[in-house]
Amino acid sequence: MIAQTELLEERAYYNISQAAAVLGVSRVSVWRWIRDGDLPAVRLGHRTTRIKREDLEGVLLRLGSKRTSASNQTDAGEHFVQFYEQDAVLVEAVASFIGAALRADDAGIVIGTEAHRTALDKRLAANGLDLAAARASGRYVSLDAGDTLPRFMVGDMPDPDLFFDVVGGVSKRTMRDGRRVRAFGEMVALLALDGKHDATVRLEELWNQLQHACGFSLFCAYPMERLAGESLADLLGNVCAEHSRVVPAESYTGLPSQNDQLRAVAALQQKAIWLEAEIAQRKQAEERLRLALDDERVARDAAESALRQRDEFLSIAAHELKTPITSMNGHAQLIERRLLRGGQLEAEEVTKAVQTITGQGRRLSRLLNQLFDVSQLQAGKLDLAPQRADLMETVRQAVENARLSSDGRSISLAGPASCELVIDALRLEQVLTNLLDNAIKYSPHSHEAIEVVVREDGTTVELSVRDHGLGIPPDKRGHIFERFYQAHTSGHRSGMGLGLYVSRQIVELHEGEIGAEFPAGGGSRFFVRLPMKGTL
Amino acid sequence: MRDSSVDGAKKVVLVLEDDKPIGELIRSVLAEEGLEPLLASNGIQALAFVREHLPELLLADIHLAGSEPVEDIVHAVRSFTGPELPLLAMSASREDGRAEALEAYGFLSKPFDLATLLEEVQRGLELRQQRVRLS
Repeated sequence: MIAQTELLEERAYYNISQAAAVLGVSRVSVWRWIRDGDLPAVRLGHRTTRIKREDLEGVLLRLGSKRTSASNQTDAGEHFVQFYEQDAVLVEAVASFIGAALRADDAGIVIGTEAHRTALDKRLAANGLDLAAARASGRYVSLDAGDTLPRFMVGDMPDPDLFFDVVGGVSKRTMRDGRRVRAFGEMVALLALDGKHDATVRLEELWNQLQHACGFSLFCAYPMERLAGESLADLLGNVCAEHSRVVPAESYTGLPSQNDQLRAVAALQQKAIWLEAEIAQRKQAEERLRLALDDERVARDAAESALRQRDEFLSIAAHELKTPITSMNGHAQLIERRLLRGGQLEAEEVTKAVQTITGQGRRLSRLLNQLFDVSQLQAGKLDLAPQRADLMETVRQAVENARLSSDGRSISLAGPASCELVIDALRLEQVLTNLLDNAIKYSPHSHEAIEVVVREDGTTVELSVRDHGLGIPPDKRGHIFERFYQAHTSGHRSGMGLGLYVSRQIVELHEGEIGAEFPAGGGSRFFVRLPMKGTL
Repeated sequence: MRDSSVDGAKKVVLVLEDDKPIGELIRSVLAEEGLEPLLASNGIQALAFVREHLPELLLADIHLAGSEPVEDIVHAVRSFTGPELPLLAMSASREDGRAEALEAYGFLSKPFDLATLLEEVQRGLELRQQRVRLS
């Protein structure tokens, strides 16, 4: 107001833009007031319209000190929304808006909550208005929003036809005799508070259509406090878009000067930016938390899988260890039974039993050594004891041993007479024994010989074991050198899944390479390649 | 000729075991007890035996190596002998429901005592007698 008075003192005539700035309304509103004769204007020349200073002063006086309530600025055809914090402020604004109409012998329609209607009636009566007479002459209609709303709602949405029947009917009756009408409505606020956001915006649209048809002024109000929060931002935006003018809540409009209002806007902008930043930070934190949870789940799955693998391994290892023990125990008991029965023991029987017992003892030792090797490997403690040796001698020894337990299958050996290398001969014998064991185990019905071949080309020596047995299913070939992995597990016993794993470690400690090929004719060909000039 | 359980003839026990030393051990013990053990290390051998001889008992390792599920072998054997053939299951692994699913009357956990083996075999042979009488 201070700024406006200062402006008024400066000049005698104002153009439309200047007048709008002084009055704090749009240029369209100024034109409307001029058109309706509410604001006298002077034509200066063909296209120039000016407003006298005293006429502007008259309008400012009419607007009076209640400038901030916004309600007096309204004009026919305007649909504005006021956000409010205190009920008393809203009642005061509505009393001013409806009161002005009643005083001018125009009409007022109120569709509000019971509490607001009661307070409004009291306020209007206190302002000296005869409400009973206004009601009797049809100039004042006050309806309960909660009762009126269900009369045109179908499901969760307002029905246009019913709305025009119910609300349009009231409007038309009130407008008879050419009265101008001002209407205040809170049904939209009820829908918004009920969480029916689509219905709220739809009802605002219907009000706009009705207002366009009838030409009355319309005042909507929403309680600011109860419409706060991120989730209501869209609704607030849509509601504002439906109105020709938006009046912010009183904590803003109550500010005495434009300067204070600008400060408040700046503070609000700062707060909005800060909130946006905080929301972004919160989303980042949520994202970090989600990633951390994902990581944790992956780690837990891996740990559970490792536990399952360990349990499975323990059960397989127990099975493998119990099998030779069964033989050893059984053969010992068999001899004991015969002795206890006082029978004669044939030397051949005893020899056979003892051979079985020692054979199974060796099998047991090999299994235990494998387990020990794995624990050494895990701890990084499996060391080689390399020295110059004849690889062929080692190979011949392994083949000889394998022939003893080959179940009648023949094992052929081809290679040079000797092949001197720096190796850990015992460890390489272990590798070859593993390969031969597998070849025997997985060619149960094959009568073809298992072929062991040693070849050297001056830089590399290759040792291979070829069988004509089951081979390895293609989908499992990539895993056979992994720890605990068993290619033949469909309910069958096939060792501890350690042999090839330990073999690979031993070959790699020799800086060599171990691999497998699966020839078209079936079976497998495992090979070990060692550098001939190894400097172990 | 397929029924060897007539008076005076030795009772045939079909042993399905792929670990050779254990199979030989069982064969020796059963033979010493006056039974006629037939040792098969896979399904083909087992079926070859039941075509010639009607066993009164099937003693089977239910965790065989090789590609044939033991369930298939047991069902094939019973299709020759009839469902009353008692099954004594054995394994170095724990009973995980497979023996029960095969309707084994007993489960022998390796390593076992020979006395326990013989008691269980005896129980199976008696069971077989009862089943034959009932049918």
